[in-house]
Amino acid sequence: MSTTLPLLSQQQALSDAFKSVSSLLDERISLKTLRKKAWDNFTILGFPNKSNEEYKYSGTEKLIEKIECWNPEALTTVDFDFDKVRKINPNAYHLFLINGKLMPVVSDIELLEKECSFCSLSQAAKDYPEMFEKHLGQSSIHFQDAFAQINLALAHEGLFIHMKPKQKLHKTIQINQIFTTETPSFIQTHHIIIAEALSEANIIETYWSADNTIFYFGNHLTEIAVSEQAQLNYYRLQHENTSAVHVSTIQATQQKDSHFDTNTISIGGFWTRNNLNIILEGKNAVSHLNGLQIMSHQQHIDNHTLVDHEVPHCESNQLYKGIFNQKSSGVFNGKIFVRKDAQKTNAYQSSKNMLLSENATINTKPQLEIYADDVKCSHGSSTGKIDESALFYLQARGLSTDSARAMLMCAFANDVIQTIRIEPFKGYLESLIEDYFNL
Amino acid sequence: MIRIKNLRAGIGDKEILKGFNLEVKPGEVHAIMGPNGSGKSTLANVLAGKEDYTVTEGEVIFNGKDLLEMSPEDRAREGLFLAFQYPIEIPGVSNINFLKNALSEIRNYRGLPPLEAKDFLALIKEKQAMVELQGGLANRSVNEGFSGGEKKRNEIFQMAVLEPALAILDETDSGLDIDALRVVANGVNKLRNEKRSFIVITHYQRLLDYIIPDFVHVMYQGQIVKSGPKELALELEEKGYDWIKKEDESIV
Ligand SMILES: Nc1ncnc2c1ncn2[C@@H]1O[C@H](COP(=O)(O)OP(=O)(O)O)[C@@H](O)[C@H]1O
Ligand SMILES: [Mg+2]
Repeated sequence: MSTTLPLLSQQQALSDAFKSVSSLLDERISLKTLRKKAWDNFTILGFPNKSNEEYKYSGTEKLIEKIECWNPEALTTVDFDFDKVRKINPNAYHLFLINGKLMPVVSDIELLEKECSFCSLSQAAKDYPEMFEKHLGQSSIHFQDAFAQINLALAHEGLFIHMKPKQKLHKTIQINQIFTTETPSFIQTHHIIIAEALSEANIIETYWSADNTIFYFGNHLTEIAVSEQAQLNYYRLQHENTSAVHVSTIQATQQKDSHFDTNTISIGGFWTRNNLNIILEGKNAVSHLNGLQIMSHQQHIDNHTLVDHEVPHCESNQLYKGIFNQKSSGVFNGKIFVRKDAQKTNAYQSSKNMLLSENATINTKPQLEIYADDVKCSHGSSTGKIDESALFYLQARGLSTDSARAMLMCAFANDVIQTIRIEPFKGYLESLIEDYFNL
Repeated sequence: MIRIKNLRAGIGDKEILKGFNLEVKPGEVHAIMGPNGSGKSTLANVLAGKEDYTVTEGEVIFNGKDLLEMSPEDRAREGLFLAFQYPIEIPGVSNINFLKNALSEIRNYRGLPPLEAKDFLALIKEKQAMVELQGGLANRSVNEGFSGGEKKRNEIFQMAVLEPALAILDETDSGLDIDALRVVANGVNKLRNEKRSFIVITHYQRLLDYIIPDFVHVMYQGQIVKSGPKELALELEEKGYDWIKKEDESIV
């Protein structure tokens, strides 16, 4: 595999960062070993460029070059309109994080603590050592991706959320990540979310920049374990500024009879890469993967999904939709593995895109590898333009071109938005899309 | 209301309207009949502002303004309404929601505030009852999964809500059973008054039993080849269009 090692000066800074983090972290020896292994994996992989098949349309070297600081200092305050974000979903437990660090003063910590165990990632190493060790990096260490590996090696800010067996959260947890930095920094966060048997929870995660123009490179990892009969909905909204780089990896495992729904909504960011990896380890597990991207100007987004059907009788269903305006570009790559034992698998995948300009591009690639014979699998992708006759119909009723267009875009996005089961958040997204096209 | 003078229009190199003339005064109902392919829908679409067609000659004055200069939405805001021959389905766009916005934009254009939510709902209810549109349909996506008859009814429903100055009905009767036809005609008749005008395009005389026109025109090969009182429709019904075609050819 061809690799791009960071520039020499960066290489030194990066390995200094690793050394300082290693000495700083008060973790068990097994975890130190794991982090070292991830570091070694990373140094072999290097940051991917376009000769890496997985990053064919999304080379990272130019973006990496801009990074000057690999281990930014923790901040405790930020100038940010917290209420605006709370209003998205007033009836939720809001947790605000600045560069991955929990901000206790503005977060609903006491309220949430009454319902479930949660704390910062570093605190979890001390307070829940067994669980922490059991979950940190267990499946993501095998994901051969430089960003996942360097996150495992270095990231030490983020959240740990644990739902006990049968626990049903009364309210949604909304994690709001805010990023800010003065020097161009590499900001990493890492969450661990554990849903024990029969538990139920809704989690929303939103991403914001404190400033409209600053560049930073965010690299986020969320490790999720959904146990037997548990139901977890995890919806994400990426709304950072259009200079920001956002890489995220979701690594989830599902046990018997579990449900896991994700919705990945990307509107912000200059350059975004979402890796969503779901491993179906227990029978009758159901997974829904939905995504919506609305890009304009020079924005780029790359969604890679992987669903690994390891056992029989599971179902996965994905719908990714994208709207691309001006010179924006997108990639959708969806891998579905159906292992030899995974009979009676249902796996569906659909990617639908709308190009609003001649200069916008989208590359889609389904990748199905099916080794079982009694399965139902399908995939489809379509790329279209705005429906001119629908536009005319609406205009002929008196709607301006802009509002007719906005209405058609909302309609296009509608089936993805409708999969969200949290009303205020759904309503917020609908108006967000309407406003986006009604400028 | 509207004056169409020597209108020539087509698609690409193909000329479809070949010097079309018509004047409709306030309160009048004009029926346009004619064989398939004579350019009736083209006329309707050109008047509504569909961009696929190019106008090469002629003028259209609507309420004293140059209609052909206006965007489709401004034509609607000025009071023009086209009930489409083939209403399209727009999945994901709610009928009510879109009508509400359309009405607000039309009112805004005329310097009026949007209707209060309850007034709008009352309006919807009233018009829905008028065209006997089942409650569920108004709330669904525009025409999605509607039967042919329901689509036509929905066009009349929208017309009733938007209350245009000039409504063009493009074969709203085709594909309707007799009950639906009566409902559609009823809707039109209720909206008929001394100010509002209609151009009713139809293939059959049948509709004109219910909507009594002031004038009947026969269109053939992009022109009006014959005009007369409502009795002309009966004559056409009896003799078919062949004699028109022959007459027309003998003129040429
Ligand atoms: N979009 C189009 N592209 C090409 N030809 C068209 C188009 N629309 C109409 N025509 C042609 O123009 C002529 C008139 O069509 P139309 O206006 O639909 O007639 P009518 O409504 O009277 O049946 C026909 O010959 C038809 O084939
Ligand atoms: Mg026609």
